Amino acid sequence: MFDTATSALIRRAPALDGLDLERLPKRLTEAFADIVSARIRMRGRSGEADGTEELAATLAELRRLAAAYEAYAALLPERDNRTAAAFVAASAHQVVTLGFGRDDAVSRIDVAAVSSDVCATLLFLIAEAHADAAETAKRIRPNPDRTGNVERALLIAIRNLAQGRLVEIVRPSLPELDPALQDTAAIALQALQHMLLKGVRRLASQLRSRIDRATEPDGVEPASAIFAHVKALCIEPIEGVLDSGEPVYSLYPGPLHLANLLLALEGDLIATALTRIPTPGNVAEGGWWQILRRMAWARPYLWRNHRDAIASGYLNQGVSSAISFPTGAGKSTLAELKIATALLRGEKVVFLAPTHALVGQTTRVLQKTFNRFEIIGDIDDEVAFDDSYILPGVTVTTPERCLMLMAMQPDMFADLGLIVFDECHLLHPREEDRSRRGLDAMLAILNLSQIVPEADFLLLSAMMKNTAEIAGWLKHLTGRESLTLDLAWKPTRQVRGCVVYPAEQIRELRRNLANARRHHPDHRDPPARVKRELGASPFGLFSLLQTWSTTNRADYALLKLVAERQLLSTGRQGSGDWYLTPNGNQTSGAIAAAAVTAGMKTLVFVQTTVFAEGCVKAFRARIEPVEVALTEEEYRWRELTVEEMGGRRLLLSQGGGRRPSPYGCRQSSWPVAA
Amino acid sequence: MQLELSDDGKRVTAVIVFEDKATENARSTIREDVWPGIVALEIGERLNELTHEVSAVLDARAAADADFDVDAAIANILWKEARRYRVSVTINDMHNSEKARERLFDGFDEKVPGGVERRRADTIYLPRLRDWMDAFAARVIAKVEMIASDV
Repeated sequence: MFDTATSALIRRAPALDGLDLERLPKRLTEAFADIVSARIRMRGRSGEADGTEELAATLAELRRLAAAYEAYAALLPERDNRTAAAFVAASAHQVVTLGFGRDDAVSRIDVAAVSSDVCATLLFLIAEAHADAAETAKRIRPNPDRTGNVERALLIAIRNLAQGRLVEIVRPSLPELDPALQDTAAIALQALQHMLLKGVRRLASQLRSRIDRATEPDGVEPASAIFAHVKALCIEPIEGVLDSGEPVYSLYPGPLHLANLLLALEGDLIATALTRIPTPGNVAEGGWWQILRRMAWARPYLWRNHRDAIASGYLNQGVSSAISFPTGAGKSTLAELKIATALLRGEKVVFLAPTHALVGQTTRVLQKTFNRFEIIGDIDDEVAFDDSYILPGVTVTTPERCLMLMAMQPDMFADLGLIVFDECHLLHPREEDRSRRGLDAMLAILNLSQIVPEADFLLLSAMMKNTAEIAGWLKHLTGRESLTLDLAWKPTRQVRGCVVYPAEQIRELRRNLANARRHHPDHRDPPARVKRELGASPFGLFSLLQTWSTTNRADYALLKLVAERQLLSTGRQGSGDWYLTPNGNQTSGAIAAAAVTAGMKTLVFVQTTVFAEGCVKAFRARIEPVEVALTEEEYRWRELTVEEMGGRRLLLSQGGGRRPSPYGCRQSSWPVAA
Repeated sequence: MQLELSDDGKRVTAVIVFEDKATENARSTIREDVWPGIVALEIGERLNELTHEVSAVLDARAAADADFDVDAAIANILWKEARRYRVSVTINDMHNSEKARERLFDGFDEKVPGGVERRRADTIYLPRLRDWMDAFAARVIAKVEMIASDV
């Protein structure tokens, strides 16, 4: 589940007695696979099914892991390995949440504790796992009836902080304190939540500004000072309680813990702020800040891979780069920053994208960031003949069209400073590809390097293996420095498994099938009676590493997926012998139905549209109808429709609001007229 | 909650979780209120609360004593689960004998397995609990009023 970089981070967590840190990445993956397959197997029921005790032990271990490392990250923020501790704690929280299926727990920040969704979100932020933090933050949901205004605002501010929506933190006005509270502890809690909210708002403003304003006396307090103040208020020594003289404290553990977590992340988070990128050489400070401010609106944080790139001189003039980042790792952020440097130096940019759809999409995205510059996608063909045409700031186009323009108007490209090629793996023609696309793309690059030898190159792809080789080639092509930016780190996590069957079951079925063939020599296919007996138990074989390259049993987990045997299918060889086939579409449907019943969102991929339709059609029979309670408004609409249409029998959705829900979530039973 | 410290006061050996109850019906309070709470802690259900409370206590202690070993405390309490329980309950005449007190805490060793040092039970004999509470509250009010008038 964890890439090599993340596995290395996990192994750096502080040592705990009896915990094998070397194996910890695998252990977390195994726990994840355990829990997912148990949920599929039990179809969301808890209790009776097999393996529950082991599962309980796994959950207990993960909770201890989360507890110990969370305390570590909160109490020892100056330690080097706190990011590792925070990451493990957050991951363990995440897996535990998964173990409980539909998470109806409500987010809270009360006197005694902070709910685990909030903690996991902040822990991921401490670990600089921004994508995980944003994902986990989705679970932060205030209780619509019980959560007070101040607590709700604080919860939402933390969610927005993790999801990078800083403007939405600072824009709403501070909520009023609820004057109706009577209980002293509740009043104090509300005041502490209010201060923490002020701290988070202050942190958001700091993240949005170019520099930290110096703190004047009576001036604006930095977020860290506010959090430290909350901490101080949460701990009160009580004198003279114990005869032994041992200290006794009155504490507000919930707000104190939250203040500790926020203090732990504050400094590092500011260091990741996009707004703080130093102005590159030959670029005007004012223009740079304008662009950063717009970019930070949607993506305020620079990830470690971005910061590493910038630190190695990526933004400098005369530096080309080949970037191979996996999808979602922020190639566009880096591309936009580089484009900004060219535009601000008064140079033009050509952005090559392989398809017209991508040209359109890229143009729209760039127009949003560079609103003060002219960005044009898909230049008209007539331009090719217009020798007075001047290229806009950024021209987004396909390699083919660029090639055509260069042939007609080479002078047009004279003041080009940067050439970006997205999906640059297109340069490599695939064996079965008989088109000229790879060739055209290569010609476009070579011609551009001839016409404007001063221009830098930026080649981007999520599927480039030989990034260093490509960077070397760019260096050779430009005669200047060229960076290799590739990444073992992935912003997303997956556990991969495949469905397997016990060999002895398969051997037996094969024997039976061969016997049946002998008994029915003139049948084309096996008789239905034989086919009905071809059941086998599907297991999931999950890889605990990122790949399938080892044959070590300890690198894999074998877990039962569904309780019932699934029917395999048969095929016929040229010789007339029957053989077993996996019946994959049926089995995947059965596994998907079990997963959906357990409350997991499920995607099934099949090979053809015919299979897709078959899968959907069979699906309704696979799951129990889900009782859907209509809201009063939905019920009124339903009644109105019945009246309009002239009777209940005319509704596609029959019954009093009951309807099978293929998604296992609450759906309104919308009446459709037949 | 109380931390149990080593002799030099630098290391935490365990955390003691208090369950103090003033009640007129000791046995049912223990059975229906105390045991489920302790069991939830033992199987890890209230671990979030315990973690944050422990971390608050350790924070306070570490702020007061620079040599205090936070790492070992975290490892002992949260990872190795060095947890002890002290159940204190008010009793009346019904449980005011050795036998009855023993019966009162029946099941403690099942809910909290392990060495006997993990379980501590206390009773306080208050035959007329309500009257005692009223009298106590009256004295507290008098004291508070006295302090308030001094300010």
